[in-house]
Amino acid sequence: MSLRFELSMAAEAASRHGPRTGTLHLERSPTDTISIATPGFLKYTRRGLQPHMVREVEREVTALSAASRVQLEDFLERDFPAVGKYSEGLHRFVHMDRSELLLLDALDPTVTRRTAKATNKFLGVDSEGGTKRVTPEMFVKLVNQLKPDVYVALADYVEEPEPSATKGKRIAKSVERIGPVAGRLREGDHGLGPPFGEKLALVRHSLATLEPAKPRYMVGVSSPDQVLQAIRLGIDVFDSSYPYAVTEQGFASTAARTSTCGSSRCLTISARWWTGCTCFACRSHHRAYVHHLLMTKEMLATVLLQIHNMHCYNRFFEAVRQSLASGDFEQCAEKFLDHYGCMAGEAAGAKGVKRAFDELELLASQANSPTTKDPAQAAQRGDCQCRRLIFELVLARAALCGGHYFMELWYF
Amino acid sequence: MTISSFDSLTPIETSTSPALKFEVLAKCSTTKARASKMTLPHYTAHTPMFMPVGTMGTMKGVTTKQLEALDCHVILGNTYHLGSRPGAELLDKAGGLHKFMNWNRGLLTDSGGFQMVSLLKLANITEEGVEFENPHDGKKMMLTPEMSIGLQNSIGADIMMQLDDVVSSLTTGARVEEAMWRSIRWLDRGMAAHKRPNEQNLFPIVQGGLDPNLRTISAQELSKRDAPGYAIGGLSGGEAKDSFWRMVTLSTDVLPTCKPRYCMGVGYAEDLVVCSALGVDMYDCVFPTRTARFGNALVRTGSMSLRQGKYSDDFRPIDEDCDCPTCKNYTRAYIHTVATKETTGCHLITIHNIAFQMRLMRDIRQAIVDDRYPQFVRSFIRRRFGKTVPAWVVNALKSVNIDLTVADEDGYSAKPISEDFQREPNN
Repeated sequence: MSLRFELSMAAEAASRHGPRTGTLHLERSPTDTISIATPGFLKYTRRGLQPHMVREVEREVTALSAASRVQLEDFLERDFPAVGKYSEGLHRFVHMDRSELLLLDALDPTVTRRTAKATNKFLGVDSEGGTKRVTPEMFVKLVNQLKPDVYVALADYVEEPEPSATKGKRIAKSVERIGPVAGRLREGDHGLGPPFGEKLALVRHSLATLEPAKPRYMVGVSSPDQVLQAIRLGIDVFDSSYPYAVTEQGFASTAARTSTCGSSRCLTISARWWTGCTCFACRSHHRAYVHHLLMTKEMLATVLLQIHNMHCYNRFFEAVRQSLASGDFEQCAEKFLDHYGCMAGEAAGAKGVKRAFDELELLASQANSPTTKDPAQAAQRGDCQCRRLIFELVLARAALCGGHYFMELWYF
Repeated sequence: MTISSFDSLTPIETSTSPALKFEVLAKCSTTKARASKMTLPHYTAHTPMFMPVGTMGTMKGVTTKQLEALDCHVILGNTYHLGSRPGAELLDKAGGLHKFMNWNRGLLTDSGGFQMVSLLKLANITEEGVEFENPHDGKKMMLTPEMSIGLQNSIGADIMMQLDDVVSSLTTGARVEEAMWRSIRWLDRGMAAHKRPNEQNLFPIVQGGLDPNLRTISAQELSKRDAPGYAIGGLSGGEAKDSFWRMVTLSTDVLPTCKPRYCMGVGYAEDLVVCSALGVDMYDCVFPTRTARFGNALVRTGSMSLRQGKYSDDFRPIDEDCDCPTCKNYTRAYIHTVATKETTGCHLITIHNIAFQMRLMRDIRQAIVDDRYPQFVRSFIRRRFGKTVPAWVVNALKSVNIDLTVADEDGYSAKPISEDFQREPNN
């Protein structure tokens, strides 16, 4: 098995800090290969399936990224997960097509509050069956058994300047199988993390020491504004936890599309997608139906929203790659970020992110929000048939705006 | 997934109404079972059939495209729920429930009367209709037979149910008789109010509690109305199963053989097998989809609670013989990890349970067409119950010439037990 990263520009031209396009090639055997265009994203999953979507439903989202991330903590019901006894690998267990790259990580990037702590010997993980201890040995054993295409080595996420030497060795050993591991960026904050602008500074610092020719995955960074800012620094891979957050709030994304503004193509946001969108949900159903499903708390609501939101997210990345290829990325990203209310640049980043964060909180607290918990408000909204379901792609969630438990940067 | 020989069969009996054609294609030579084709405005359904319940115009997280792939012919919507949300006005605007939910096959709606009585406190039944307190504003409201039909005309289902005077199946005495006669009067009012007889069918409901005499009168009176089909109502409400089957078989004896018969609220596998032997063609029940949400998968031996720890490292499918997407692709161990934790866990089991019901009904139809229904029943019962079988099942099947207490050529015979339910096979 080999993983190869091919930058579309000459190696020397690929600067340490700067947007870049490439292709990630996974070769399991000469006849079993997968290629993923970057910048791209790993599909965020919960217990191996994309949120709300069984495989038949997932297939309705066409041309979706052929890579997924699965977190081990989803399967830690017991001290040694039962899946570890399964002999046919993780792909088969979660019924993922072999044509998809599967990345195994230890922790879920959307979980912002954790009580379990890590020690020198193990990583403590909260689970329904109490705190589970994941030791590096156990992790390696599971990796050998589950055979993910790529895995993020177990790391020590507690506040420590450096992992202990022993552990460092173990990490190094555990990743030898699939290739070299490079840097790791910790932030040491268990609650709401530092502003995104500060994170970007840390990313910049880390990238300075990393080999430019390797792919870089920034875990848990997913909202469009953060993605664009991270791409500017040279991050290649993200994950789709953002569209999931949008779905959970009962919102539908508007499609990011490339449109003509002035003489150049720009990433803009369109409010007309409901009629123009080609996704399965929009082709099959009216807005009023999705509204009805949300009001009656029917499960199909989140199924349809997730289909739509993933479709939009996929289109967003297509547009990003297109603009990178045609050379007007900087201009497009600037315009997008302006529109988003998030000023570009690290200094202003914190302020901008805060604004996006506030906007979502505000929407969620409105009387006719589907996520309103207040029963009096919930009763009122039943009569509101014309609630605006479509919001521009400016929704971000606390968890995605800097509330990750940790931020890590890996390349393979 | 249709039965290959079905379309080439010559109808034995046919009834034609403006919006429904019913053709009995095969009759069991031992029992009262029959296999038929029912042509509805939106779909030609094969019976005996099970109709999953999608109360709110959606089937528990399953897309209509998936429902088609699962071989669902007709699904149910609940008039009371749809009337309050999204409401008749919006349904009219959308062009009916078919278009609103994007379902192009058969739909059936109940009358709303059952929910009035079961969900709402202070429901008061008068000759005019069901008077109830609106849960939103506390005002007194009235659901009349005319209003029920009006709402159902807006929903536009292929089959509508009359508003009936629902009494608990445990009620006895004069109230049962009053309800039976009132239901007939309400039927006549409903039929008069029905505005779309060429697009929608109105089914009357046989009432009469557990009183054979009243049931007979009700079924006879309704038969005079020459409806497109008939429902058997007022059962599945906690009555003894031995009374239940007697009321079912009595009703099918009186109702015209050329019309479809629908037994309301029935969905356990053994009930479907027994009632089909008694001559019932249609069923509905929330059980398969509801139990899925609690992590229970249906199998021919009963039900499997996938949340139990013993499934955490069981790498077999739910059912080796099932060809649903869940069984083809997932192990019990995987479903154990998602059951009741992720919506996808609920989806996976719901899909299996619907597929289970649909496959059972296909097997029933095929056995009737091949005229080997008694053999099918015996092998089903053997697998489901083993050596002991609830007495009501034994009695019901004996009434249609299947005697489980006498050993068959495979050497299987069963001992009746007095309990109405038996969870697992007793081998």
